Amino acid sequence: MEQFKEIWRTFRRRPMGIVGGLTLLSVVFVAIFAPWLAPYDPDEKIDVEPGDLLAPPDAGHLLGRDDAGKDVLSQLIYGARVSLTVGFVASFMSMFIGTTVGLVAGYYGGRIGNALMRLVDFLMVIPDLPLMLVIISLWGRGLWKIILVIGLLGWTYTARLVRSQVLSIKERQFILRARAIGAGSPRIIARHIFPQVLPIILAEAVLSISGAIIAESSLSFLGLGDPTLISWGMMLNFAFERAISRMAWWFLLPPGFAIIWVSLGLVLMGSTLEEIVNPRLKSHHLFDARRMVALVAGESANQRVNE
Amino acid sequence: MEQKVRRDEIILQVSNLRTLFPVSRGVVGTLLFNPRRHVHAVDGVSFSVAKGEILGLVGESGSGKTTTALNVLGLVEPTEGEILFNDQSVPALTHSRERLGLRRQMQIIFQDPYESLNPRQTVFATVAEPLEVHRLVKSREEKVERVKAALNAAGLKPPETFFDRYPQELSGGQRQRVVIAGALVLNPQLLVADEPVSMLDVSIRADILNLLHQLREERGITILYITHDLATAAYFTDRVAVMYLGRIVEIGPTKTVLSDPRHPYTQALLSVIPVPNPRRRRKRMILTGEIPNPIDLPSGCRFHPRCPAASDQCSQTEPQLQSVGANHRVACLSV
Amino acid sequence: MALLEVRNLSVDYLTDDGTALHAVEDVSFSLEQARSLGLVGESGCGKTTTMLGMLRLLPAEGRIVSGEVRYRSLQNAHSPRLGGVPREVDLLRLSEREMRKYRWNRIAIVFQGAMNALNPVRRVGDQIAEPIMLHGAVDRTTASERVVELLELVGITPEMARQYPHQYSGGMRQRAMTAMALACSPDILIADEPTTALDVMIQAQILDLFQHLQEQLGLSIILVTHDLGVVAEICDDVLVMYGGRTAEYASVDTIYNEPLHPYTQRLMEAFPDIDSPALKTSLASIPGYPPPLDALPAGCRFEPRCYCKSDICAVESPPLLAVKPGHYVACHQVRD
Repeated sequence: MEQFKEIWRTFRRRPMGIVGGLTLLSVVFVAIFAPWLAPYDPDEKIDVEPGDLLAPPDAGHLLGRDDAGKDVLSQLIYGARVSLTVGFVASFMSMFIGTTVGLVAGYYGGRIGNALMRLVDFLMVIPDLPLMLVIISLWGRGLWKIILVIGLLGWTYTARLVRSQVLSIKERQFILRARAIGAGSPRIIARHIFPQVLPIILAEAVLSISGAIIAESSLSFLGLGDPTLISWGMMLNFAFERAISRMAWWFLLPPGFAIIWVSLGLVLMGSTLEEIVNPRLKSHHLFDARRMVALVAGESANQRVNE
Repeated sequence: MEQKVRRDEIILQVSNLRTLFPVSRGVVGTLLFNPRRHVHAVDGVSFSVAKGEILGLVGESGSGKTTTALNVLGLVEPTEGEILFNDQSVPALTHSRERLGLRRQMQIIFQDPYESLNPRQTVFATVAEPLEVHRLVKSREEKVERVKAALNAAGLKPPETFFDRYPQELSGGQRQRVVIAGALVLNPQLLVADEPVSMLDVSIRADILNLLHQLREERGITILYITHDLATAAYFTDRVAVMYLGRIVEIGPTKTVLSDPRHPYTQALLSVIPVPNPRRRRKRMILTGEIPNPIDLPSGCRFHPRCPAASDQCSQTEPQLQSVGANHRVACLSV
Repeated sequence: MALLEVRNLSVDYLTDDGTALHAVEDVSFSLEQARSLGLVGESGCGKTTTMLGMLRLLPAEGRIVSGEVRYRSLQNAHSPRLGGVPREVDLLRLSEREMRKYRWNRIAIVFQGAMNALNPVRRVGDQIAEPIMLHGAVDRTTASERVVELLELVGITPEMARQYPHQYSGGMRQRAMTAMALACSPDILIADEPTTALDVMIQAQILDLFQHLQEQLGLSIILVTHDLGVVAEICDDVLVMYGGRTAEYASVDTIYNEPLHPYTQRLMEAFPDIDSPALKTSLASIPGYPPPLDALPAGCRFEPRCYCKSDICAVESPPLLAVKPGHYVACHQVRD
């Protein structure tokens, strides 16, 4: 489809963006193929001896063992699953809510639009992490609770973004034409406005996923994660509580490094995604010599406007 | 083609149409209860169009021609006045099903072929969309047939080769034809063409205008042609209405109005149209100044500040349309 | 020698993959003092590129492949810095620094859509004063006086100098851009589509202004446009371009009354003439579309759409020949 071709073209021009993309994709790969990649099953009961606890890396355990004797590397690999699950699901939730709110507020405007935007303002003002902390502390721990909390609080930026886009798209002439044909609002929003907003949403989605992963890691690190699951944040939490005095760097560094790896991918993709997200940057066509020719030559009929 | 306008053949009747848009007073203005000001986009327009006729609405910016068209189509609500299409009142149709029925009968072609098509929809999807909205087809085959017929009628041959193309791949003329096909697919009775050729190359304009002409001949479609270009109106329209600042100043059969313009504005407009022959450079009546703000209108006749023939009376009384010949009416006190 | 002589100017655009698009090929014309030339053509014909090439304002992808732009300078009272400039020079051979002495000083250009190029947060008067101070090394007071002079010249009341662009109408902005272009009293003014996006009456006012400037200042004007009517009103000579090449070049009277190139002829027929007695003849149109730069025909550029071609037309590009003194046509079918 046209919009994917556009996105691909933007990436081709920006090698950093591709590197970032590959970085993130590597994490996805690890999460999907965890059972084949991890040398041990973290849930398996194993017999441990006192020497195994917080054992440094050796041939059998490339990243050593944690304070319960379990293989760190396997936990790290399986941890990717939790982080990504939370990332994708929470992000999908917030993208969905944000897009819907943005479309409705932007297209209908008026009192509904205003009310929605005031709600957005309100939520944006409150700092995310402390609010999540409060909610989880009161509500209790659990994977789904975390996903819900992140998803239900993270939609505001998307809503703002989508709404401003919709406001400008709404004024374009092909929308007027759609109305003239007799298309109703739902159809116009779905067929004419949404496809135009889609590239921005997709770009925002990647940023949102990464943001959700980091949010989950933060919550887990602070001790509010799901105690039954291993996530990178949890690993960091345990590491800080139990391993730091023993200088067991193999337990401490890997999860932190994994989180940095994800953030790095995010940052590298960042500017490329911004190009996609910001239509004004894109519309200059300064990178496309052929279109530049048409533009500078001034020969396209675009120039003749009356009124 | 001179046509006598017979009562029973009138398809569109506009009476005393006024459309005012409020101007924002700003926070301070609202707090101070400043009087509300309005843009007088359309300020007392009346005309009728016979079935199969091509009527031109000619005017410069601020004349209200586009707003009038949008009123006729029901895309903008009038402040006052009546619009009767096939004896049915357009503004009174509030129910969505009734509106939909109206949309089938009236379609519009816009000025900018680059903006009036959704860049992410194929040609097929664009032309088929009206059929889907009005639920006129039951099967895919039927849809394909009707889209083919519409593309053919719009001069895009062979139609199948255009099905999967996107607007960016087409030239301006081709895009405009896609818009026309999209308008034709519903077999409307009335077509509003808002500057359909002003953004196209000169050598292609005739093609599009000839196409519209042909559609009138073959299908009896009534056309409301909106333009600032009197020259193309001369070639294309049966009757023409010259508009200034929201009112019609002269209306009549095109040949008559062009050969015997009575309103000073019409005369001035005709005189400044560039003639493509240096041997016929004529004396141009170039008006000074610019078109006034449609918010703060001049008193009396709106044209009097720029009128070379203005008298004292003109700044006090607003002239109404009076008959000066067969079907030829002018709104001027000096006539 | 005329004031300006362009000889065999060719401009290419380079694409990402290195192929060269021949945007302008072998264009020649001359411009005398106080005469105006209309450069006419449709989308993609290369008329704007020709002007940009002449002034060396092409974008990074543009390349001047060959040609000469010979300019003969006249006396100029308002630009004392130009003392010591050679009589005749080829603009294409100058260094960028030297070229800057000519741009705006000698040859000024009002770009297409220029009226939207005014800085919205600066007063119009200040913006007009800028090139004056830049090129003339004059102080603010002298510049302000000159601004008043220029505004009056273009028909704007001097009090408007203190206003901002958004307070100007479209027509007034076009006048302001013209004033800016005239700031350094150039010999030549290039106006690219000066009347599009303007109402008919304002168009007439602007054209009237140009004519007025030509008479009063002895200004030479190159008018780049697709509008044949505009050209007929104020131009002395016309160069019709098609597909990057010259189709026909002659005086305005000849072009309109005795056109020889098939494209020119058909273009004339496609243009509505409100005075024409046969008012209801349908307008002619030219079938087909102008050639895209990356798929130019091997022979005559117009051949695919021409109605009177022969075999040679598809094979060989016709040279521009003088069929009469001052009347040049590039067509195989026209041989005298």
